[in-house]
Amino acid sequence: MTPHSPGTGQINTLIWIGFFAALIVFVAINLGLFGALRRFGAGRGRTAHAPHASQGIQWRVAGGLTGFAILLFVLGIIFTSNATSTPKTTSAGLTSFKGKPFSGPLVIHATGQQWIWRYNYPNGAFSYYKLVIPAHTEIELDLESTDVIHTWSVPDLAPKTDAVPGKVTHLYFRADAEGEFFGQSSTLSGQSYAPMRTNVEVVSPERFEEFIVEQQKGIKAGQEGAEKIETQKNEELAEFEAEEAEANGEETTAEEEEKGEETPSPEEAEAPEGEGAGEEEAEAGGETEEAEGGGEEAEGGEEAAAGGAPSAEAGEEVFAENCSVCHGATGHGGNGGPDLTTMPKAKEQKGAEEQVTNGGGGMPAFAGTLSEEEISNVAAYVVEDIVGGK
Amino acid sequence: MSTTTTDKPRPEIAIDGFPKRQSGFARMITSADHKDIAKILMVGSGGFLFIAALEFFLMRLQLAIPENTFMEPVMFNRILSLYGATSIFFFALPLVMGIFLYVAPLQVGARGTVLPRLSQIGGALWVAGAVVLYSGFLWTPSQAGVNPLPPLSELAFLNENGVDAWLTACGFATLGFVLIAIDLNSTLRVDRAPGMAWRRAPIFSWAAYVGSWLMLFIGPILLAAFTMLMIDRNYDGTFFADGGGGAPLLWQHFTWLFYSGAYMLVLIFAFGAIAEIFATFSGNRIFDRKALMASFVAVAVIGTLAYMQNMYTAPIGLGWKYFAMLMSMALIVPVGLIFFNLISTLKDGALRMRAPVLFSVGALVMISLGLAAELQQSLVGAAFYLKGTTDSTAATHFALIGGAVFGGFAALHYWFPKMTGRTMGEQLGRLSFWTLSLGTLLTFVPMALAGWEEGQVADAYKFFNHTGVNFYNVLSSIGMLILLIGVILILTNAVASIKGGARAAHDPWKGSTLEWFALSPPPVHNFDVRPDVRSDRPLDDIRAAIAKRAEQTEERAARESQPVA
Repeated sequence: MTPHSPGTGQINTLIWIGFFAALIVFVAINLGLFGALRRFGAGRGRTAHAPHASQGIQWRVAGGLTGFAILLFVLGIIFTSNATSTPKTTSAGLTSFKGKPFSGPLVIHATGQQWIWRYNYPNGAFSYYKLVIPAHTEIELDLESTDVIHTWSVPDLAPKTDAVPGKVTHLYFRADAEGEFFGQSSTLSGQSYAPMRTNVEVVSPERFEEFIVEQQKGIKAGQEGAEKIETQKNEELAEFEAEEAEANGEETTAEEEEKGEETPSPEEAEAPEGEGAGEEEAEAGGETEEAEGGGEEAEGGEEAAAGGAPSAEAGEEVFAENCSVCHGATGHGGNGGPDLTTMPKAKEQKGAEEQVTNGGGGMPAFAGTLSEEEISNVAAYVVEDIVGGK
Repeated sequence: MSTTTTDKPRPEIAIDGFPKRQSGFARMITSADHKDIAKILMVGSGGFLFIAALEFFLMRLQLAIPENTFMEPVMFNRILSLYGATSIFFFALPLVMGIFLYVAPLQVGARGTVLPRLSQIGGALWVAGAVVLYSGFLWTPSQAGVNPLPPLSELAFLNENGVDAWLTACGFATLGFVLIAIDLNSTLRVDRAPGMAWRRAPIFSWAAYVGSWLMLFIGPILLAAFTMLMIDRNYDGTFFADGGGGAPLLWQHFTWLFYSGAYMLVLIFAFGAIAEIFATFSGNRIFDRKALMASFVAVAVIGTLAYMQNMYTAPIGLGWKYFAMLMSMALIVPVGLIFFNLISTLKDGALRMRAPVLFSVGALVMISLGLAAELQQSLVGAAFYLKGTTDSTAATHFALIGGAVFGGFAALHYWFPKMTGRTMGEQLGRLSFWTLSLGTLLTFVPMALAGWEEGQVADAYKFFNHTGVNFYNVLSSIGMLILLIGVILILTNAVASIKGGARAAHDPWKGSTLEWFALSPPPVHNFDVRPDVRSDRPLDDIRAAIAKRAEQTEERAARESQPVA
């Protein structure tokens, strides 16, 4: 680790103190052990002369050890309390936010879920996978988990901390260098535990404000679309429920209810069509909810068929590595990504390729991450196997 | 403290020509004799040592190169979970409890255990647990990891019955250990030979006594946790599920308490066995018995109380973390005293460098390495980075391989003649020792470095390229292959020596504790006559008495054969 925050500097020092303490212990024990072995290696006619054990020597040894232990304990407390103390925002940090003077910690909610982090920023903006924070600013990260225990860990910036479901853990830190930092969850959380990485981008305070506004705009646009669809969906749902109630009513004895509700039969016939249309639109809305995730390195592309027609088989592997984090192992949605079978673009090769290449609607562009061949393969897999239902 | 002896020496009881015990499989499994039950545990744990090493090797194979696709993530997690159960519940603990159960009653001159049927049920439960764990074809094995932390191990996230099987298996085994501990504890308490006050009891028996108390304390806690998780999974309980007011952290408190206690149990076992071995092979007395005995108790209590050092990253109050650190630091004192006394026992002796000593020295090196590394991680701040990395995995493995593999095989080499009437092969023993040492160092030193320098996380089914850990992982995988070979060698040695080892007398090492007074292997009732104990080295007294009597006899014979003047 290379510490880039006041807290991790303390941690690093303590690690070295611990290392030297461990080294002293290990060397002392083994010097004693091998000294005892070397001097009286083999019993060549030697007879044992029992050493004299007195209480005195035990107390002296115990006293020395106690002193050593107390020293380590005190050092441990000093450096740990330094590492966990909240660092203050410096003048180079985020001193004004949206034109108003800003002090105190920048509160960001981090929610862990299998297997991605979601970050909620103060103004309603959010991002998946990557946390963007301003440099030189006190950050309060409120860690939560929606499913199992995850560990939020970026060794260069902050102490490792568990996000336990049902509990909010506050983590305070300050990043003193701009750049990208990585870490990995270190509590086994299921299948995709290993790729569950933590990514923090530390930017200048100005850039941070820009980012937050951009993010908010994108989300607003998405949300409006989604809300529209949501209301439509709800209307349809209400209709559908009414029908259901009617059907049930027929079955049971309550015939009066039927008269009271008076659902015209033509509407019943229209219902399927309406649902279909709603679904199609839902894709657009769904996309905005897609996670900005899956930023894993490309891999498995080597085996892809060279040139020629896109191979769904090779695409399966690419999908598992890059897409399943959000879209679920089978592509039927799950961790922030929508169900691919409901997406219009996923129904044809060209649309799917376009979506993967350019991203959009919350989904990151994979143009740089995946080769063209891999993109066409994964698109083929999505179109043929997932949507095509092979 | 030599016996001046008014009591009669009894050389005549160690005669040949005893009626041979009936052997055979049926006798073995129906016997309530502590030695037979212990044999089942020891032989079984030997098998599981191989299986655990194989499982670890498979995981290392997956982690040999970055982003390997040799194994599916699910399969990796299953093997990981199996490995956790196998190495702790089916290798380390049964080996420790087995050797305790075999040797300790013999050492205190008991004619058997006082509650033999409890031990018998315990052994049977352990076997049942092993069967449950490994009849994996009936269910999909658990994917919940070495310690199945809820909520991951809850029904909502793993709804196959693998976790139930895992819990049942380890629960059976733990219940077995608890029953055996009750038997062992009672025996050591009430059935020591006449005259054997605790200050005269062998140090290994004291270790067994402390260890059985420890198991009595930690075992039921784990069983409670297992039961609660079973209720959660099968009867809609909410002990650990966060929905409905359960507390996921409660599980960590319960289980880490057990795991820390089990860790201490293995260490106490190893230290006890090593003390006996050093005393016997150097010809010295144990340097300071009282200090050693007190240190064992301190290790058991303090080490178990330090369990919260496994939860440094969990959301518990900082004060609790400092408490755990305080306990870990306090552990320096008794552990340091133990090392000091063991080394002083070795010093200035007439050392015979046989395989048991070699393994003991290896065990002390590995344990000191592991505990030193744990010391670094028990500093709260350091753990903010090191916990959950492969560095912590390596530290735990050093200490537990040192305690259970090296310490366990030191004890096995030492007591093997008593158990089988034959010694374990010396040459193969040395070869396996060096292979094991090389393998352990080569596996876990690179792992520790990868965890420390680059923060490689534990339990992950893959690591990423360009994170600077490729070389470490390749080294570690090669080391694991060597370690696996070492395990195979040592098990081969043990198995081959049961029938083919050099025949040993009843007291091949010139030991000074009572187990060497019995026949090899001992009969069902262990001793025809329970000797009176007058010192902490009763067999030395008996030898002295025999020598004296022989001298007297010779004198008398000489006198009588002189012509009457």
